[in-house]
Amino acid sequence: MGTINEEVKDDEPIKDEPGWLPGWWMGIFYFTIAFSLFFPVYYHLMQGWSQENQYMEQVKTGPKVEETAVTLKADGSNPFRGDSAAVSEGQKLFMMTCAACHKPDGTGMIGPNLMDGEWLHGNTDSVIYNLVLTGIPQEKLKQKKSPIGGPSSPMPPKGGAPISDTKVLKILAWLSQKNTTLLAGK
Amino acid sequence: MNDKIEYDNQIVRMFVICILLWGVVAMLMGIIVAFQMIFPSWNFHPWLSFGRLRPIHTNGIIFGFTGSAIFATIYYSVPRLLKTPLWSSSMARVHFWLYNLTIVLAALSLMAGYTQSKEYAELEWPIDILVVVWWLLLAINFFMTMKNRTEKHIYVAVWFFVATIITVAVLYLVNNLAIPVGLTKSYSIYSGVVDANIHWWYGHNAVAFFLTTPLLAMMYYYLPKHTRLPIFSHRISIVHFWSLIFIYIWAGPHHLLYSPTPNWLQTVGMLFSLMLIAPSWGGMLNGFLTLTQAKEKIKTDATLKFILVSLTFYGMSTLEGPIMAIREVNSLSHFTDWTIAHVHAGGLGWVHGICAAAVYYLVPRLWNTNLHSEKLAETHFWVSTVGILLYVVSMWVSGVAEGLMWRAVDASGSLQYPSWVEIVNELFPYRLVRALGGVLFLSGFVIMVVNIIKTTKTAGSGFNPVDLREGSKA
Ligand code: HEC
Ligand code: HEM
Ligand code: HEM
Repeated sequence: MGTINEEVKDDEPIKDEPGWLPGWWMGIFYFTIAFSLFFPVYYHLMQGWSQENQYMEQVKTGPKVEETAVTLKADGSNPFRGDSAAVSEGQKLFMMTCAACHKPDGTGMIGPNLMDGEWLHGNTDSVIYNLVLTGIPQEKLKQKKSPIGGPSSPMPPKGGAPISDTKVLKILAWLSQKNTTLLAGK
Repeated sequence: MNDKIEYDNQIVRMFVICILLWGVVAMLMGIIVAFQMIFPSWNFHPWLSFGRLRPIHTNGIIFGFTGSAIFATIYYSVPRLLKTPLWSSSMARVHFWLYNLTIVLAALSLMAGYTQSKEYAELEWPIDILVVVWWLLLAINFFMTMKNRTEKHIYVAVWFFVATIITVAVLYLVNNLAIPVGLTKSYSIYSGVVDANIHWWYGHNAVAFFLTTPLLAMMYYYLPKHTRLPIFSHRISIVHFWSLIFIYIWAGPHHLLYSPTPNWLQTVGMLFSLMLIAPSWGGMLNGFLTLTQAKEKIKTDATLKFILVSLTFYGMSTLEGPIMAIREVNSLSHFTDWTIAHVHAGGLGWVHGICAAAVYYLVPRLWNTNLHSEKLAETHFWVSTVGILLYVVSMWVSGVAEGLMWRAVDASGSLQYPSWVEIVNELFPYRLVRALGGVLFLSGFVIMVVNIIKTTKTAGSGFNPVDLREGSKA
């Protein structure tokens, strides 16, 4: 075992052939260099491209969201109750903006279970609508701890998502269909 | 004269053991995070959660596994190529121990949650200083060895190591400048867009000067040594070496496309990436064209197979990278599993391939014996190649699907998949295949480890190199 060091010298030099440069390879190189000289002149100077312009362009030509603003009925109930199109859109929106805290099926995770008969802040359309619009700041928290066990944390207005008040009503229409203990009215 | 040179093989043996050790640990971490992405309940404890194990995987694989292979090759090849003993064996040993201390401290501090939050530069300032110290020890030892050389001709592998040692030092120092506010916390001296650009100038060139140039040096060393064939073209070496190191440095902003980075700077990043195609392919071509002189031998030689597949993935990912650097493509691929496919085509294919070739080349020579089993090496090759394909293909599909689902809008202009969770669920099968590909890949690696352990059992029994030149008796 003592001889493992000396036996293998392994230091014959490596030969380098002068070789040649494949033409197609140099071709790619020259082409990409030439392209890189031409492209910024064309794209930025002649076309005036910038990501800010591209964004404005997309906003102008992109699909428009048509929505007539809707609010609570005079009796405080949600006008979308029973509107099946609104309910299915509401479910999607819930998945997008609320599910992260309330779990995709609404049974609670960081925020409380919304599918049971227990309501911390009230159980009518009007109360819950205003609650979601304003969010629940630290000092108004009622949960002792979150359903998954950690300390409770505030709920941002509309769950922190930039959605319209009308969309909130659609979410609550879905919620009222899933959980019938959420009552219409004030 | 030649016969008098004493080469320090012990330091190389020590680093070879580290390749195997850190390789297994880091890949195991990769597998755990891969499973945590499909079974979130596997985040058992904060110390073992995804966010902490992921950087252990990346640091472990880059600095632990790949680093060990680079250092082993430097300490083995550079004295031999320059025909002079290593300038200081004891300095190399200090390097070895400080380096391993760093890896251990890195793993522990990341698990404990200490991080600078810069990808690939997570380690807090005390560990950074440790890194700088041993990197300098390596640099001094390297350049003093070069100064004492008795061989006038400086072979291309040495150029690539020079580029690595100098550039990594500069990148690492500049990116990690921070003001400490305690032993475990510091604030970067940069902020905002400048911080992002410095960070990705570093991040991209960590890929370039840690996962590419030293690996090219290794390819340029082991391929001609193993086959005893001359490198195909010195001219290609010159052109692609200088163009590669010049162009790579400017490509960092391709990680920041469609961000607050100025438009012109993004374009610079994109164009320098396109100009990288040819310089990168130079290395691949030189390797391939050298290999064609030993075509027949590839069938029977696992080391050559690793180099062949490695070069193929290198060529593939250095074409894919520039394509991903095109703004329109990047707006789809960014943040998705497509990037992960690209990373692992480079990592599993290119980096691991060359490192495996290094281990199979070095171990018989260092322990002066023959490899325990060529057949097991062959098995390692096939198992890992299937693993790579499962990993990379599943991540391509997953990445493109993910990108398309994120941007899909319905007629009203709203997102078609507003729920993130829904998309994550959709990607489950691909990510499962990825995790299984990873398990397969690590199994291949473990086969190599077993093979090497068995080989060292017969240490000193005499090594017979096989002649792989065409027409020579195998
Ligand atoms: C960041 C996490 C978070 C998000 C996102 C979130 N919530 Fe909440 N939500 C909470 C928490 C926490 C509470 C409980 C606060 C307390 O302790 O009173 C809560 C409470 C509620 C309540 C009151 C339940 C009761 O028993 O009175 C309703 C209703 C509600 N959320 C609806 C929503 C809707 C609708 C959305 C989506 C637009 C949403 N939440 C998004 C965290 C969240
Ligand atoms: C010409 C060569 C290459 C170019 C131009 C290139 C380009 C790119 C681009 C555009 C990205 C995506 C950035 C983003 O959207 O965030 C990327 C990511 C990445 N590439 Fe490459 N690539 C090249 C070669 C390689 C090679 C050979 C490897 C590995 C050995 C590699 C490793 C990585 C890694 C690790 C990332 C992920 C960075 C992150 O954490 O986000 N690349 N590359
Ligand atoms: C058993 C093999 C491996 C498995 C299972 C594995 C798995 C993973 C996983 C799951 C991630 C996180 C992906 C995400 O966040 O979406 C990851 C990231 C990464 N891995 Fe691996 N990996 C393996 C081997 C390697 C190797 C050999 C290398 C490189 C030499 C490597 C380099 C990286 C890098 C650089 C990242 C970060 C990518 C980014 O941020 O864009 N991995 N790996």
